[in-house]
Amino acid sequence: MKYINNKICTASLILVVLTLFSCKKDFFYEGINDDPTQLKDPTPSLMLAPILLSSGYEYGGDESRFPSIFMQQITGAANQSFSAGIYNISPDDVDNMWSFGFYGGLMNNTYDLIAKAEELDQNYYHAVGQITMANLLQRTTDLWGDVPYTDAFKGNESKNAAFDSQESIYKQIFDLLNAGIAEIEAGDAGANVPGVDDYIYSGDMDKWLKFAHALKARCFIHLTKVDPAYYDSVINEIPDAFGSNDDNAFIPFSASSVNSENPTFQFNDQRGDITYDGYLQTIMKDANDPRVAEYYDGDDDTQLGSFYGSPNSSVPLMTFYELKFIEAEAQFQKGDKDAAAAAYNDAVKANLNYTVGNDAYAATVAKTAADITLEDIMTQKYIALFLRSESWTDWRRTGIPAITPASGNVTQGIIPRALIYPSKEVRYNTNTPKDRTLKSKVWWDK
Amino acid sequence: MRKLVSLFAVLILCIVSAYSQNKTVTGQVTNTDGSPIPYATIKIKGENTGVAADQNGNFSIVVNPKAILTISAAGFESQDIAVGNRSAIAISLVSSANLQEVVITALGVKRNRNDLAYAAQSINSDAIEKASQTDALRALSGKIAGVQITSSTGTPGGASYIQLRGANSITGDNQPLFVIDGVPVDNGQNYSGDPSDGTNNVLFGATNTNRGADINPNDIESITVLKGPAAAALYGIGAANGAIIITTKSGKAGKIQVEFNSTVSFDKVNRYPGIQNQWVKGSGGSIGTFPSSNRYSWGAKADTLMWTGVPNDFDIHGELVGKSDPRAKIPFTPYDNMRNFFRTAPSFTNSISFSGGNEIATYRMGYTNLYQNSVVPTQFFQRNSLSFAGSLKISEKIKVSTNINYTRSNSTQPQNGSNLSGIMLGLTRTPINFDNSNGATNAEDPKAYMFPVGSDYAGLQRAYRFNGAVAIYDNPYWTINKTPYTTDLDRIIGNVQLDYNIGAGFSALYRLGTDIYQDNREQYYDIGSSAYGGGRIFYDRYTYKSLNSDLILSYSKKFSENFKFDGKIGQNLHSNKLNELYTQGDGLVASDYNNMDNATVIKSSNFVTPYRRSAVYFDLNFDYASILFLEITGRNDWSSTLPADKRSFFYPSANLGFVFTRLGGMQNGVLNYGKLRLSAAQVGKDAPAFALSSYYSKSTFSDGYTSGITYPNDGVAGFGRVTMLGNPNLKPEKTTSYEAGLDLQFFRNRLGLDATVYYSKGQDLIVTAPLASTTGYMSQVINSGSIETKGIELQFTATPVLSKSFRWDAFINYSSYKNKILKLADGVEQIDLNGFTGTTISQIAGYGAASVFGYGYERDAQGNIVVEDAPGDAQYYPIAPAIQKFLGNTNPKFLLGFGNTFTYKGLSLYALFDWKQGGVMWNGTRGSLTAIGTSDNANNRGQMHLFEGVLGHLNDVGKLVHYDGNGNEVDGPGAVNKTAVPLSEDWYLANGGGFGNLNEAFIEDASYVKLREASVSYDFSSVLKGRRFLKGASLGAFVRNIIVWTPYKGIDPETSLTGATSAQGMDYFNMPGTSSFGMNLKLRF
Repeated sequence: MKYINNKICTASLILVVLTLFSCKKDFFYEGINDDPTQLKDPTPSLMLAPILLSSGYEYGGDESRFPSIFMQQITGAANQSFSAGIYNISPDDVDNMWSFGFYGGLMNNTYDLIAKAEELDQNYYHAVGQITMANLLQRTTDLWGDVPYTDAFKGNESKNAAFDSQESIYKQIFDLLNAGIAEIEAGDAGANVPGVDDYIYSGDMDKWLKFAHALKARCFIHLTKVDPAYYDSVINEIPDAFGSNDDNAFIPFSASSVNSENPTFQFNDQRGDITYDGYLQTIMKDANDPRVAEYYDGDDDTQLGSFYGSPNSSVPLMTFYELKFIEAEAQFQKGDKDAAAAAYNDAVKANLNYTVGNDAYAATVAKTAADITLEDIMTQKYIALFLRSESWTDWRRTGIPAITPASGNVTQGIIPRALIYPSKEVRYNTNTPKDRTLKSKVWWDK
Repeated sequence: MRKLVSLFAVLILCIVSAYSQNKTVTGQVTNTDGSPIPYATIKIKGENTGVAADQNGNFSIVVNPKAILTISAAGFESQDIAVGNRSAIAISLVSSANLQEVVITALGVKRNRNDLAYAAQSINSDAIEKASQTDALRALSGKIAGVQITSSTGTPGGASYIQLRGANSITGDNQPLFVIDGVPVDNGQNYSGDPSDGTNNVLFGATNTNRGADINPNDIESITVLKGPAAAALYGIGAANGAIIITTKSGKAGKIQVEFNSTVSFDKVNRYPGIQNQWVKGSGGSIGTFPSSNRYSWGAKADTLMWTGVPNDFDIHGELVGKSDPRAKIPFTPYDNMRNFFRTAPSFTNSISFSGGNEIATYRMGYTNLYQNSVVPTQFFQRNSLSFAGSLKISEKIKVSTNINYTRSNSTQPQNGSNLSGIMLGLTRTPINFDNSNGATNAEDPKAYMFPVGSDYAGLQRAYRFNGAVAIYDNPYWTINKTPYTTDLDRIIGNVQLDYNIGAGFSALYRLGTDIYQDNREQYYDIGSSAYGGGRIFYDRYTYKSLNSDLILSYSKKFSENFKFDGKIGQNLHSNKLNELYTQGDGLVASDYNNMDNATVIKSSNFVTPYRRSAVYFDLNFDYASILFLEITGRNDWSSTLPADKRSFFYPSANLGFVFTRLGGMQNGVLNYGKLRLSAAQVGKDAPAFALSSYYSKSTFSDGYTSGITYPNDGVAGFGRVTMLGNPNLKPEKTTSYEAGLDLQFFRNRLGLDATVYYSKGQDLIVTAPLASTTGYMSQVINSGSIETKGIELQFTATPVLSKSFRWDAFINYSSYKNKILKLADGVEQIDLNGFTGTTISQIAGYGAASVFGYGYERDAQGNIVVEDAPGDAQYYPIAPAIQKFLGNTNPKFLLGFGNTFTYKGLSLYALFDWKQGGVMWNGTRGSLTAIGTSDNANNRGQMHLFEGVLGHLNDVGKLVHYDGNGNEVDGPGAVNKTAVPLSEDWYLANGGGFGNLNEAFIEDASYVKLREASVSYDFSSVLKGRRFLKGASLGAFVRNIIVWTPYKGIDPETSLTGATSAQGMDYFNMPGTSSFGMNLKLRF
């Protein structure tokens, strides 16, 4: 057999090779190592929606479960929830909430949003960012006490963020809220205003103003164990805060897909480690409270009812009825029992209207200046704030309701008073305080 | 390309087959000293026929006068002799004094193993096919020293993890580079599932394979394993963990040959986890009712129960009642859900190949079909492979050759791991009084997994953990019928190579290779599935394209009788791009409608990862009298993943080989060959893509327990920080290694030893270092890690018996290494590779790579377990401080493969034992089932148990203290515990089981000894001698993995939840391993 023409063959092969490698761009073209899937610089608007929805997801998720189990509003039946029920909690159990939640998911993004809004002169976004940051910071410090803030979110600049004292954190919270309030009151919207990205108020800045004042009232009441003078501060905020249930700060969820669903529903659907019986259910049943029908499943009262447990149930971040209970407590402690009873009765009605749809039952538990007690206020608040971490804060401040420690507990009979620091923070931040246990008290609980 | 196609068309048409008269030739094979060499092999070159000489070296063969005979004998250099007109030939062979083993080294260069100064070991197609392994990687296990293969599962199409000499990288890949016919190919394990779940998908998705499984073992001619960086220095970055060099079969000059190979085999589960059969569903010793969300088997004792005999939705035998109940009718017998579910699964492999050629052109074409049923009903893996290899001499100076392999595979893969649809999770957690199959004999019968029309729950999923509205765990029969995960892959790996012999010692080679695949995965969850009650469907399409170009110029010259030089310089361009298009639909509207049109909410993501690299390299070889070999290499890489100013990096290697037996007087009757090897090498590695900048991406948020929320959400867009902080200052990492070895051959190569010791140390290793989230980020890729490895590899080969009709060959491969993480990053003592709350596979400074980290017992200074002394429910049980600590090293102490082949005439008997000593595994399955109450570990329930240890507890600041007689806390541990406590349900639900905070109890030794492969076969060649049509045949039977000795208390301990990733050592409802039995027929025409 003869060889095929040498030159033609070689030439054609070289041609093939050249064609394959002759591309228009340089071999190491500009941007070869830039991830095309990701965005380098989002607007505040693109960041606001997930911050708010995630904030609601956290508030109705992990952040609700630990306190509600401690407070015996619900019962841990299996797995980690069972362990939480006997106060057998590891640093890993609380790590998601901190690392992927508050610091690695919520406050870091809020921090960026505030910076971007400032840079772009978007004043209302800036205000909303600060109010949101204040809310997140309050929730974080109430769970753990001293937490990083002034040093936080700075990447390599501060790998071991210092832990600010809770006292100074509360100062920061009030600064943020006051700054947000001032900015909204100034009335200069700036370059852009929130709209559909604002799940709470769709850009209604008057309501954001009320929300900020309501949060201030909540924060002041938290500090009253440290200094009773804060009762006055609480009362001062009330007129500027929520006026009715219409002002409630709700985070809406949707049944459209698994990843839009309410966090409590997702947990029950995907984990089912919690039953909804417990001390709360017992006292409500004893009182023939009509909210039993809303809170619990009619067929199986160990299961959550559809009001809080549906895929599209909203998570309330702060409500008119919570505010009214705060007012009632402050007025009561200040000695104005008329005002206390009025606020208390309003609070109970508001919660009944929200949950049951009518306030007929309010008459059964109505109080007057003559017979109102702190226990009435805090117990009804405990019932109204079903599934909310505020109940744990209230109990730590007032000791109401007087629940008994869970049987089989591993803390020598002490109900947790703070969360332990999470595993990743302990491991990777050398400034994390070492001697924390579930029995440690936070600053305002001393 | 059309030109090429026509070239090969011509080539195939031009097959010339010669024909002329044959004659008989006799002869004798002798040593250079005249003594006869017994049993030499005389083969006709280019054909597979031949004869063996007798004890005195005499032979007789019928040949064509044009034929060339190849005479070979163990311990001698083989020799080619043209027959010509002679009828008697005397052949004198020169003692080879070494093994004439040719290995394919870096860049596809064939080298004599003797000339190499580093460790390389290869196996040929016979060894690969010996037990008809369907995965080429698995065929390596035990056959090469220092290679660790872990089959993650017995499911066909499941991943295999391969590691040479342990881990070199901390958070990067530790698997070697795969090279097929000179072209690097992808061996990645692509994950499927919602990208917002990230790498967690490997903990709970369907099993995914590594792409190395696409390689058809029947097309492989040889596999060479280049173990250290020295061997791989020339392949650069990708080969920092060594390289697996695969050479596919090609045609040889000679008559057309047709080979047909058919295998049938049967797979069975080889080990099941231990399950109890004494207690039924329920809690607190009472019978759990149906329906309820109760998932426990802490119910009544089985021998106290009877069925009522009135069938209901949950049991065809009726309700369970106590024996004294008036309704009691039928004695209760437990269901064995696990064993009833799995099947004996047949597999079929059929392959055919044609090959041949002449002096100018050769060709080989092969086709193989593999159809493997899974032990899981309805699941399968199918692979069609088409290969073509051709070469053509265009002129005396130019040769063009090509290899093209096309693979098409499709499969269904089972749900694995921590997964509400998990098959093992569902099977093993099911209580003994619930029959998942509901009496159905066909796995596809809906009666098993659906409540029938007319039932209160008509249309809903029938499962043991069903709360009246939804199933909380899927019934495994639901899973295999209603949540199918399918894969469909097309892949082409090929190259074209041009060899140009320039003359005067110069030659050039150009090779262009490509690896292209598209893998289409589909997952469907029907409405009513546990994980996605509203149903979910996703399409996940991975497209990978790579192009690799090598231009190599060689120069070789014999400067004098004793001094030879061989040098190469080369240039390489490599580019690849992985493109994942993921589309997910939720909110399905119709059942049994597996299409995206079923979804009401759709989201989609596209991930594109480009990568480019260029390099220049040199390889200089000096040979002095075949006594001293010196090789020096160097390579400079430029990588696209590094900052432009740090993109370029250089690394060298040097090897020295000294064949001391060639020195006068060293060679003798005992030791016939000896070589000392020394080498030092450095290899660099670049960063993962996109590590230089910080980004924002579509937001996702979860609380760690639930699916969480993703964006766009209900029509609203949202972006948030990617929590990896960019590092614009990254530079390449470097690993330096030193190796020394000794090759010895005794008694004319009848006994051989190849020993290697090595040390390597990586510095500035690129680490994805965690950051405290208070920085606003979770991780950053930095240069900070350091890891060192020391190891030894021993290879013994022996032919203890060699006679005319009987031959015994044996080998032992032993390897052992120890690695240690010297440094992770400043302030970072632990980096988690993967795992669950409480138990992780982590890199921990000061310990071996990939260690198990988890919650262990609190111990006093003497190592005694601390037992709670505070009065209360927990008193006298071990305390569980829930602080993670080192619980074990997953690396084996040693690996040993022991193989024997006995050949008597045509009959061959072969067995390979594979021993892995040491290395722990987290038996999460057993831990979980202990809490659930189905594990036989909880058969001691209710018994009194004394926890041995000392009394004490941790005070408010976490210090070990105990109570004195007055109830005051005193530092340190107290007295020895003497009080027994009951092994109660509460204990097992808490710290006594896998959901508590004492995972240490479930860390187990995963050592094993396996009869990895054994076969018996008969070669009919001698019977068929002289036949015109059928020229060769063999028939064999084989078994794989039929015997497993292990202290591990679960499934086959050769398993990995995360498949082919560095996070080895986790078993959490992994699919069990399998044993196989089969038959094989080979025909040659």
